[in-house]
Amino acid sequence: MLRILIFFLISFRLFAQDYDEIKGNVISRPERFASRYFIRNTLIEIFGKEASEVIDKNYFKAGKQVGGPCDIYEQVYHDHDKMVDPTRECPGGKPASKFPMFPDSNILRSSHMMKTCYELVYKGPFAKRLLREKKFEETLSQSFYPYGGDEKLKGILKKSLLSKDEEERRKALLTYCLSPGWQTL
Amino acid sequence: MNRRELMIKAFKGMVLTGLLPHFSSCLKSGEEKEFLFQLNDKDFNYVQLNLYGGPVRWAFDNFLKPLDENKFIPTKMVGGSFKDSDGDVELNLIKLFGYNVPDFWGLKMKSGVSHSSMLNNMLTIRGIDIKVAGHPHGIINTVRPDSTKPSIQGLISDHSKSPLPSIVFGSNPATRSYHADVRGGLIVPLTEKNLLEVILEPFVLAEEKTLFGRKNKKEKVLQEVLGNLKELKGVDDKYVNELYGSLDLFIDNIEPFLEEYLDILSKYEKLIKSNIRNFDGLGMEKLALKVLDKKGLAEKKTEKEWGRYKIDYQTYLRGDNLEEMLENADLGYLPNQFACTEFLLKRGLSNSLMLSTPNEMGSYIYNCNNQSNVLQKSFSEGRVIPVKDKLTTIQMDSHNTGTIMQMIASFMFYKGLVPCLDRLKTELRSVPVENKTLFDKTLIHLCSEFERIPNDDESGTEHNHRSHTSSFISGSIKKFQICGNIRIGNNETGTIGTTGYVDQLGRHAAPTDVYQSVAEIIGVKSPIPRAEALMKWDGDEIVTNLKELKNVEGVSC
Repeated sequence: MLRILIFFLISFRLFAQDYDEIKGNVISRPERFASRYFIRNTLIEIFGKEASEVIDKNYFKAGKQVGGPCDIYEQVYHDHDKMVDPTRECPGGKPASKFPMFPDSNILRSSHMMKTCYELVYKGPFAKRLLREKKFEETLSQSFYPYGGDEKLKGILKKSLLSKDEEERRKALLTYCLSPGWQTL
Repeated sequence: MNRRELMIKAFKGMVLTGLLPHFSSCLKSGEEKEFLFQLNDKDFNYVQLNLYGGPVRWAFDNFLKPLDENKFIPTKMVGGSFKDSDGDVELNLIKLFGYNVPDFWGLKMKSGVSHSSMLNNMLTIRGIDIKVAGHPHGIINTVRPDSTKPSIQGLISDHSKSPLPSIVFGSNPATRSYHADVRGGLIVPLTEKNLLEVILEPFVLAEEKTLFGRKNKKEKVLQEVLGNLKELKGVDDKYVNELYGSLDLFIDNIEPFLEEYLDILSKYEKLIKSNIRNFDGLGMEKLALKVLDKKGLAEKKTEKEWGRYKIDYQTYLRGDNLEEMLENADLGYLPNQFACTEFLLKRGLSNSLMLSTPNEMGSYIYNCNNQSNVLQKSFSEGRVIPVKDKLTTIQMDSHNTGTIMQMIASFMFYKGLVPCLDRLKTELRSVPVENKTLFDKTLIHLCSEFERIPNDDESGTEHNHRSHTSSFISGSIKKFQICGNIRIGNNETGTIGTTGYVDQLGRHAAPTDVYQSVAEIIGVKSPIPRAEALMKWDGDEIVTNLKELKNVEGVSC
């Protein structure tokens, strides 16, 4: 009985080794980006309500590429023709309800993201409040990564984050905005 | 005069003489980004011209009797020109490059170039069995025959190194069938005013004139930021690499490109305008149509008598003012798509494109004037009234388009299409790629979901989902080739292109074979099993793999 058990354990281990060699012993998971609703809300929280125009124009409206289907049953009107929440509207009709829930990473999504972050950081007054923060590093980290996960990024940006120079801070802010960690689920 | 005064005088002088714009463009020229990308040596362009709606192609590229020995039974509605005053049609064939083809190919474009010049670079596969009925299913089978795998466009895009992924024009089941596993795709509705603007708009950093200028400060910043992200995620990270790709595409100013696009567009529009109303070869002069007045239409008892006058559901051609009706007709969204295709291919922005129709109702011609041209018969009340609504299109899905209007509309459409293809070919030929041209590295695929079956009373045509034709045009196709088997049919239905059994395959040709063929030519491994490539490379030439070209015994439907 003991022999059978030992034989079983040895063959099981050998099989597992074979399996490891074929599949690799590291489990990898592709990054899954959040929908446009999450990205929009997060950026508005960070840059303020006034930034919604820039976000909507450059990111939100490209639902097909950046993901996030609208819910045609969630449209609530007041005054007959005004939506309670226009972002829930299905522009262009039904097809917007079929946008992907989680967008695949693609060059168009990346360009929308880069354009949005660039305009938020380098144009208009949206970044001013953040750039003047006394605890710049902490504010940035708390805004984009409230649950942590940006330790490595902090290390890379150490010099910029501690700097009082506005240009250096802008660079750090743009790096945070473009970093994939906060955008993924 | 000091230096300051001299500069002011020089500036004023330039304003007065109109030289200022030229001077400023000279200054800018060194700074402007070229925005031109070389086609990767492993990539091949693929352009699918998807005629969603299933138009008749008997007088165009659905070759029914290519060889002398092919048995052919003529039938109603299958023709390329009018043969008498009543509007009966006939299919006249001429011999070109060893094959019998409709006499349409012997006609000339306005430029004087013969349509047949296109055949030099054309390969047609006929008699493909789509198997499923209905437009959406038919086109899904064409575009993405295996629903668990990417569509052919998506497959090519996934393997491509072009800056942009697939670009798909239109909004219909063909465009919705698009699927890519890796790179996504951009679907551009044809209702957009400027197609190119929709495509390039994400890459414009507005009002930032210095981004790619000599000072290049912001680009340096962006490079630094991306460098940080590269350090964070590693050099192989897909997202970071895509950000770098985006940076390559960013432009300061979209205007010069939109101007270039609009210039190309106007050329296509002129080309179409000057060709579609040239009815030489259609035999329109033979027509002496009966004038249908209210009384006449009401008196006629059966569709057999007035079916061929039908132009749409319950509406009929009046018969005495065709010219007025077609006065302002055009090909709708076709020139916009061709212009955009030319721009994107020549600049190497994308190598996988689909040209399609704006919605579920693909049309041959748009903007027909109908204020006094048609009559409507109300079946429920037996009354006949003139139509007041403006009828704008003649549909490709011609269930209710009788012989006369179908013949005219399809003739106009193909008369406009061939010059567009010819221009695209010429333009691509002008771009050298290594020791070839861009036309040699491009495969243009003409297809729709299926062919059609004529109605007995000539009041329209029904779907023939057992017949599909795919024509390919490329600089690497160096001689005209036709392959595939169709059935002869019988005296009732005639020869209309229905799929015939292929001995070489041991079955009928299938849409998966077309998918496999395109993948083979593009050089991408097809994920679809149990399919045969019907085309292959022979040196630097694309040739057919299918050796059979027969009209076999069997009924058409």
